Amino acid sequence: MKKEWSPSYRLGKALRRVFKNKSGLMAFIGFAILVTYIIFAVFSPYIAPYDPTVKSGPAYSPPTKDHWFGTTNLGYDVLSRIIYGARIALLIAFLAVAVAAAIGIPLGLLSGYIGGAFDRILSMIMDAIYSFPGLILAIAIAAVLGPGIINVALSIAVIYAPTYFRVIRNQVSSIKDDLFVEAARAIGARDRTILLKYILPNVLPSVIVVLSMNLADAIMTEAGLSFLGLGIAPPTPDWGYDLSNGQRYLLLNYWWMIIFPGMSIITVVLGFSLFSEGANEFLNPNIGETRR
Amino acid sequence: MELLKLENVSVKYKTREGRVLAAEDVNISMNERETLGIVGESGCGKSTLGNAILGILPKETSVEGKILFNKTDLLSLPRKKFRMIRGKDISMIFQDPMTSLNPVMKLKHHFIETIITHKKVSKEEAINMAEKALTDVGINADRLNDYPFQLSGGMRQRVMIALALVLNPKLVIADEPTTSLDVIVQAQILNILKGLQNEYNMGMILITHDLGVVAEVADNIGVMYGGHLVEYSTKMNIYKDPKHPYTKALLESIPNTDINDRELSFIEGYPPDLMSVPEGCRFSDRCPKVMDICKSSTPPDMFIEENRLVKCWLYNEGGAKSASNNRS
Amino acid sequence: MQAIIEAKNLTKHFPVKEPLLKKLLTKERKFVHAVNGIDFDIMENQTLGLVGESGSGKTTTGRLCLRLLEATKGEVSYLGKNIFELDKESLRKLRKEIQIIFQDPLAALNPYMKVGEAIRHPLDIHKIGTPKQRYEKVLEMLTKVNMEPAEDFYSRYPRELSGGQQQRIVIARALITEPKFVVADEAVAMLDVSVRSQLLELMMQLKKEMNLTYLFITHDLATTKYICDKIAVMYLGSIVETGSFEEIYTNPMHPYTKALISAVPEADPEKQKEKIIPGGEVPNPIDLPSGCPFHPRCSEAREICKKEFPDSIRVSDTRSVRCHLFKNA
Repeated sequence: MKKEWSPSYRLGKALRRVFKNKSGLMAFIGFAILVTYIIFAVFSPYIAPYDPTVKSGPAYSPPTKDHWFGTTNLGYDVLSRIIYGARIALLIAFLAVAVAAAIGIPLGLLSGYIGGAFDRILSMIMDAIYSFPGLILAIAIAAVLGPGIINVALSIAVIYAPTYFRVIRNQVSSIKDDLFVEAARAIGARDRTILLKYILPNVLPSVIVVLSMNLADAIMTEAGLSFLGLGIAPPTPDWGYDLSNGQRYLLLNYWWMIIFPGMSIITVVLGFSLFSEGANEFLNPNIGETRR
Repeated sequence: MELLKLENVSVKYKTREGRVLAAEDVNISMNERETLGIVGESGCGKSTLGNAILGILPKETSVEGKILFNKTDLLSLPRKKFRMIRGKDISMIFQDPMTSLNPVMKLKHHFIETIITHKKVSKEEAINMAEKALTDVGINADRLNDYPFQLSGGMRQRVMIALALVLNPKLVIADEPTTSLDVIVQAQILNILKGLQNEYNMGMILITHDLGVVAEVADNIGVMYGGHLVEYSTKMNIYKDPKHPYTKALLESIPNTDINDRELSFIEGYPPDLMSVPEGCRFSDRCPKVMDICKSSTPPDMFIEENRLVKCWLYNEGGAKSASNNRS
Repeated sequence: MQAIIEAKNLTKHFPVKEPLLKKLLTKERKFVHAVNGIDFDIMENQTLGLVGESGSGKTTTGRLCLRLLEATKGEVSYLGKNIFELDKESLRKLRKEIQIIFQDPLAALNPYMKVGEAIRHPLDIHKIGTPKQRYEKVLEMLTKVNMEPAEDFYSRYPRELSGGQQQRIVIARALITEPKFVVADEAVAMLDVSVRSQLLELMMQLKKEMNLTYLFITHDLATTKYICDKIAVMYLGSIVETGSFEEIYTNPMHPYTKALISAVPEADPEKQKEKIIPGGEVPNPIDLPSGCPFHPRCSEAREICKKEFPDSIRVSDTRSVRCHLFKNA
């Protein structure tokens, strides 16, 4: 067997490529953070030391050997609540972003490809939504829909759909004039084929970047809604709720009740941002291209 | 008198994919008022060579050897001194005039900036010089108040020429000056270049892939392939009696206008990738006369006649002296 | 012999994009007069060379012949049928018979599609053969365009190939459905000199093997002699002269053709010729000059040239010219 074909050689080569430049390293760190949180979310019952909604020790306990991150005013274990909280945070974020992408991407594709009046009207509607401050719009929708996982996800989805729409639409309307699209038309491809096989793969990399950026944003918005009491009903573990709960005891110097949920939000958001930034360069075949 | 001499010039740079050997051991010289044509296909290192003479290569690039301009080695000059020579004594005409002109600057300011950087003159004098240069290239002097986008492609290239000549340089490097232009405009520009070279008494290096263009303008021609200067001689020698197999093949493969000759001939294969050049002679994998030695070692520069260089093992015998003993 | 393509009074005017406010305020709309009523035909197995500078409308003409653009006026008939009258579905089906090779091969290939997929796609679209047969056909086509070993190239991406190889892929894709008529739009202009002749040779060989008819669009008169049977010279949207290569080259009649030929740099220092270079540049096609479009740059222009653009004058069976100088001849 030739050396180039052995799996270990190829893995080594791929890893070297990842670490050779800054963006690769950034993406890797972001990815590592995300994987940690995803593991938390999926396997929380096995990882968390206690049930997060049952009193498991004295209330207001600072970090101890039994409760690494301390306990809350009701005696819940903070570490367990953070591990379980990853579930809610990631679930809502993924759900919201999936719904937003499911609305924004197809509409953006059509709007950019068809153009004309259809494009203009749709763009106007999307711009109107986009111009609202995100959190305020989410608050209004969440207030109407009421609390609950699905409802929070939907209200967040509404504010992100225009982002996808705009990114996709603008790219499509420039790519549709590219020569390879004309070439596809020249070989007799139907519009649907052109959209799905020629245009979509070329806009997808930027979608993935927006996607991971939006996930970070969605986690913040979700925490914000829960902080304001519009999110998930207690005692379900939720970082935003814990944060707002903890800040009531801040004056008493019960710092662990607010630092740990806050750090969780920050690190997961950082993870998504690093990942999206780094992934951008990786997914785009043309960036950094020096040869023709 | 000798104006420019390159001695063993090599240019290397690094990219994400690996190390590129853009030019290797290039030896060439030119006299004052001479036009030297550097011919080669894309990626043969001809533009790199021009940029090395002008000292405008990216930072990571390493240039070895000597570039003697009026007997001073440009590579050993402090950067500030080199900068003073660049633009004043050596100037450049680029391929794409649109991207080389600042779109938000009036032509006037392009000229004033160039002139005042290198010469202590007043603004009025600078404008006078600009007007003269513009008239020389056939553009009305009141165009000085225009922005670059108000000009057509051909006019922009004329402006580039005027900018390059306004300080009366001793050497102008023209890198594909007519490639983006239509034939008729190209002919106009070549006429201007030829005419002004006499008037301004300057040497010119014309870098191009178009053998037709050099045939019209150049005195001597250097042919580059894969980062090597494979042949150098007078124009007549190159066209009428090419020695290197690449030069021969290249000349045969270009469409001539002889209507009786409708037989296409071509070179199999593709020019080498400068990232992974073949061992030995760079042309060995496409050469019809390839020998064993060609694949293992690079041929030296051989002067088979006065002022006639061939880098090919075919000419190793018959008393040809290799470049290393010939240099004095 | 049968005419594969016949263009009659073919015209294309693009509206100039203007700001909305200006559109509302002025009634007069401006147009780019890209192609202005041209006629030509291409016989089976022949190659027509369409020669002109940038802005002459030659690329637009090529697109019109395939109805990649809608014509403003006039018609293009493929085997006697006007392609502008076809409905969308019949036009789509016709596309396997009329094809195009683009100037910039890298831009003409989807960067996310492997070479093999790109060549196979026309077969998928027109549902030709079984998947296995399609795969074999692609390999056969890759071999035909000298991309060997074909299996290796099948799964490469276009950006990993050199310009010449990319253009071979574009040619393979264009020819895989065995078309009759192929437009080659500056197909070799972006390639290196040594590779250019390879590609021309390949195109000639494929023409013989596959019975192709070409419309060969180029700005470079010299390349036409290897491949073209007839040449049409275009200037500002009009065909000003047609004839065989020999006729055009040895005895150009129209002053523009003369200028064009004399401007071609001769790659032979002994054969440097006296040049007649017209001043100025091609005017913009929005406001066309009155009369003959070439008159402002023509050294032989007369009074009548400013007022009237003559019809094509038939000089011989193969030859016609659109110029007042030959009206009485």
